[in-house]
Amino acid sequence: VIEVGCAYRTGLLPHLVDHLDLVDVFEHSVDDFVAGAEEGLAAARRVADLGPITLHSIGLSVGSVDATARPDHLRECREVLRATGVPELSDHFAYSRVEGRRLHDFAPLWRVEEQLELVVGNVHAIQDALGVPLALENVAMVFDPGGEMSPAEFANEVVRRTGCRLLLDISNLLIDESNGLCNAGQELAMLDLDAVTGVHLAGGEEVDGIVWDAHHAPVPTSDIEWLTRLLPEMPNCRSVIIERDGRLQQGHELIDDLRRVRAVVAAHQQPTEVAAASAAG
Amino acid sequence: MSVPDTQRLLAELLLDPEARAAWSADPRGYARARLTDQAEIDMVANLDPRGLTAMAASLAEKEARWRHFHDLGHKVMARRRADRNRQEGHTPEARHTHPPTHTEPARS
Repeated sequence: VIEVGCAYRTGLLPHLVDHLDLVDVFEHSVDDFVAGAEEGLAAARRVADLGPITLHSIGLSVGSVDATARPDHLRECREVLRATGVPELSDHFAYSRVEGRRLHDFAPLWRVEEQLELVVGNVHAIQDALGVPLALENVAMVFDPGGEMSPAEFANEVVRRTGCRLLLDISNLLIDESNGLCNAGQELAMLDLDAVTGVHLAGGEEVDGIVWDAHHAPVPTSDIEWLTRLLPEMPNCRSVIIERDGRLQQGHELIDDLRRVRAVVAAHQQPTEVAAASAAG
Repeated sequence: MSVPDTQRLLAELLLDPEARAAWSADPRGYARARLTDQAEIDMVANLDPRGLTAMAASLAEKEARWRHFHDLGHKVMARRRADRNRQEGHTPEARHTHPPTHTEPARS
């Protein structure tokens, strides 16, 4: 069963409170719970008791040597995972710290063998420390360092060598295509879709000719169409999460996004019933 | 080849306007002066200036936002501690909780 939900933002609650039936699962940031030690763990337990959640991370810096430099952070993440019973943690194919220096965003990876070996070593170490598998997400790149492998080939190789999973951000991939950095169709044709356990969708924003992964707008129709096409090819996908971080006063757009995604997922999960209903109606 | 070396250099280009200006003036010369491996030099020399500059601007904006909320978090936690201590009749030194450490990039 594929659950549909959204990333949890307090500012969205006024819009969601009358539509909670549209949200099977909330995605929470593990980083929100690792602060404050016992208070954070208690909050994580309470949140998990309220209903299904997934946990997303933005702080592991999987692509740099910093990934294993903060064992306390990994221990805190493990405690949150244990407290909530969430079976995997997602983060990104990127790095956000370089020798302790914070970048405040995700820098794209140079896809060469040495970088691959660094990521593979980090993923092994992180999975061992957490006690659960990682699911790694493709980031939207504003520039691409390139390399010997395409993003999909790099991701597949990390999966093959570590047993990690993939969080496919369809919107990020289409943003990369809009910015001339990849051919989304070719990437998806190469990607190991069996490894995908979750999907992210979000609306981007174009500024001065560059499309950003802004999470400020409705999910584009093209992204929903790709979801429709890909769902039958992702047998292990368990969740589709819509990310909305900005223009929260337009929360009704998220409600509409949830309805559109739920319709696609329902059609995928019950194709014969939906087809029959469509034919009858 | 050294991936950490290239990441250190990319971090400089993204975070330091002077480094970025020097790179923009002569990308290959800048890379040659700091790296030895030809593949690394080619990668840094061939970076897209428009994308790199745009990302650098975005990082600066996100860092400023992070600083704002980081400071705000400290203030909120300090006030909560003070309220709790007052309710429990403790001295301010009697309890200690860590301030929020939301220190990472915006979600993706």
